Amino acid sequence: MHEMSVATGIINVLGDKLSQLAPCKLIALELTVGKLSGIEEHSLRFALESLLVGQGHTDVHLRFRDSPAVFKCTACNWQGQLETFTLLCPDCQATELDIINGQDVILERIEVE
Amino acid sequence: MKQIEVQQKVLKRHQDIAQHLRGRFDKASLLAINIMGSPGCGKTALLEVTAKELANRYRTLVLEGDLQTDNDAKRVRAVGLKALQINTNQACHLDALMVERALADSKVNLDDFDLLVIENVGNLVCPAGFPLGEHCRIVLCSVPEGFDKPAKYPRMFYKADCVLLNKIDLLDVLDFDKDAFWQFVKQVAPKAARFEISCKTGQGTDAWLDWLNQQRTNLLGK
Repeated sequence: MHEMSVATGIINVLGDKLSQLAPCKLIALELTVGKLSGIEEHSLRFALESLLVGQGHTDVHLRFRDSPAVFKCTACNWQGQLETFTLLCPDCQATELDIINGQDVILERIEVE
Repeated sequence: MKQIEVQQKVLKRHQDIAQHLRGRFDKASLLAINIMGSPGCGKTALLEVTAKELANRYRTLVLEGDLQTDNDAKRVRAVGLKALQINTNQACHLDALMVERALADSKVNLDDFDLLVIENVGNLVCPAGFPLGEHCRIVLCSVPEGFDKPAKYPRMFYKADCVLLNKIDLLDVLDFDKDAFWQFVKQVAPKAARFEISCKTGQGTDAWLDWLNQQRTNLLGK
C-alpha cells in the first residue's frame, strides 16, 4: 500500500507549488504514472482524494496518464518498450537492459481558478 | 481557469534525502546495505547467525524496520550488535526520511561505525521504490517462498547487488526448483552476486561475508 506514500508525495509537491501562487481554488491535477512504478491507479486515486479533502481541496479532477516502460540495451543500444519486466534485449539477447522510463509518478500540471 | 506546469517527480524529496544520506555514509567511510525480502525470509536471522563475524570485522550499526514492535532490534542486540528500531506506523516500507530521522534521534555518530545494515520492512514489493542512500541492495529469498518469486516480483530484484537464497537446509523436503530460481534471478538481476545460505546451520554464510568485505574494501578504495 505504498500508494499512500506516493499520494503524500503528491500533496507535498502540490503544497510547494500552491504556496508560490496567490490564493486560488484547485480544480484539477494531472499525473503521469509509470508502468513500472508499482502503482495501482485506483488505490492512488482513493488515497489522493482522501488527502486532498483533508487539505480542504474538494471536487478536484484527477487525470491519470500512463507512461510506458522503456528500456535501453547497454550492449547494442536497442531502445524500446517491453510489456514484461524481463531484462533480456529482444535484439541481441544480452541481459544488459536499463530502465530509462516508467518508474516514476510525476505531477505534470495543475489547474486553478 | 489557469493551467500551471509542475513536472516534478513526486518522490523526488525522498530521492534527494537518500542522496544526502549516501553522501554522509561516504564521508564516514561507512558501507550501507539495504536488506529486503518477504516477511519470514530470514533477514534478522541472517544478522543473528553472522553477528559474531560482523562484530569481529566491523563496528556495526543495524537499523530495523517494522510496522510495529521492537522484537527484531531486541534479537539483534541479544547477539551483541547495536540496533535501532524504526516503527513505520503501518507503512509498508522504509523511506529515506525515516532513516534520516532515526539516525538523528539516536544521536549516533556515523564516524563511529564501519557498516550500516538496514533491515527493511518485510515486503517484496514496496521497498523497491524507496532508496535509502545504501551502497548495496540485497534481496533475501528463502526456499519455502517458492522458486518463481524473482519472476513474480521483478522490480524488487532490478539492480540488486546481491541475491541470497536462504533456508537451503529445506531443499530436500520442499519442492523448490533451484536452477529455475537462479535462472529467474539472472533475467531480472543479471549482475547480482548470488549465494545460497542457511541461517539455521550457517552454511554458505562465509561466502556472503567475504562478498560483504569486498564491498567495504571497494568503498574504501574509492
